[in-house]
Amino acid sequence: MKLRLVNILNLNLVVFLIALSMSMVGSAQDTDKGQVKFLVDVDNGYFEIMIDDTMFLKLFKCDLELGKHSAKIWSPGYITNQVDFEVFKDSTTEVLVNMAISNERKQFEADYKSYRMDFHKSITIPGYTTLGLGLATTGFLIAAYDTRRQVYADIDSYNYSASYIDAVKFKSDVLANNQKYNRLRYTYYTFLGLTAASLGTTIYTSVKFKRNRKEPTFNPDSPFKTSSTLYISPFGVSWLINIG
Amino acid sequence: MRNLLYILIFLFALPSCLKKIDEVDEADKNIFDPTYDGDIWFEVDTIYLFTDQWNNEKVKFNYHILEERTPLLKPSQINLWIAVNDNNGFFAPAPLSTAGLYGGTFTQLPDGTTSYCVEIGVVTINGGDTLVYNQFTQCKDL
Repeated sequence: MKLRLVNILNLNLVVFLIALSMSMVGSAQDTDKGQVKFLVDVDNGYFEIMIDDTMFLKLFKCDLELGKHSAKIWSPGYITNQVDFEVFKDSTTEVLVNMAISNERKQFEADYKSYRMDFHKSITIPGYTTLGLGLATTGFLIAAYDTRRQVYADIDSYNYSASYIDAVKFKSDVLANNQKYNRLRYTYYTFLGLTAASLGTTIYTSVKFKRNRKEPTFNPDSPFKTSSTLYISPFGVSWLINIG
Repeated sequence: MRNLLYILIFLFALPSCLKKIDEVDEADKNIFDPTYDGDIWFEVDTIYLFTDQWNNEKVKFNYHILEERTPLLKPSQINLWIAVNDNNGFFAPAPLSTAGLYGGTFTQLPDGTTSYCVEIGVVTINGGDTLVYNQFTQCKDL
């Protein structure tokens, strides 16, 4: 085994034992060992296991020496749990580990919920309101333009009318469509004002929210981080020594 | 930020295009419109005495419809009702001339006056009823 010192305090000295990983897996089947399987009840799909304070696992099962062992299980957002179990020859010991949610996670969830509520109140709702008003405004704008074009067409038809019936009909159309046009453009003005007010509100609340609120984060450190451990993962085995 | 500026310019520039349509208020100058609100739409050009082939003295009237008061679509003639000095009126068509104008001529027996007032209205037949509307009167001396 060859150790290589990488740096001074707070740096990890890591030695990868790739060859050892192969030999350990192979030798485990040959000597007096049994298998243990951890059924860890967590909702994030991630957990770390420290067996006998020396062997660090990210796997849910491994081979161990026969006899009694102790394991500490940790998962982000859960209280570290300790379980004792016994490994028997040529059998698999299943260890069910119930994990309790930590107070930090509960606090984070409450904080995050509050953050999201404020986010919706400050950005989502004003934003969607502005979008809706903007779309409605655009709709009224298009309808007003369309009606305006129709009024001009009716005026042309009126000016071309060479009979009593046509003149009466097109005059009636001019007046009716002009009334509709005026109604639409006043509605457009109203919605334009509402859109502008909503846009201003959205900008104000967004800026205020970004200044006053910071998204909560939850990245708890593993309690096993500072240990000197045998690291076993699906990709190999390594020996981790943390200095400082 | 620039996109926001474009949106604001777009939103606030467009209302200027949605102004009141002033032409609607002017859409009452078609002489076929019973709610016509324009000025007199014809002109009596000349009124003069003449002696016909049977040696009878008569008064001759020449008139035309003002070009700007005729519809853009030109019918072959416009039917009119004409009365002189509040006497009984008569129907007369004003044909379209090659110059694109409507006008005509009619004669009356002189009534001893030197001033004649000509009243002309547009005639239409609507649902079996004959309507005379948009009458105006213009007086002229011999």
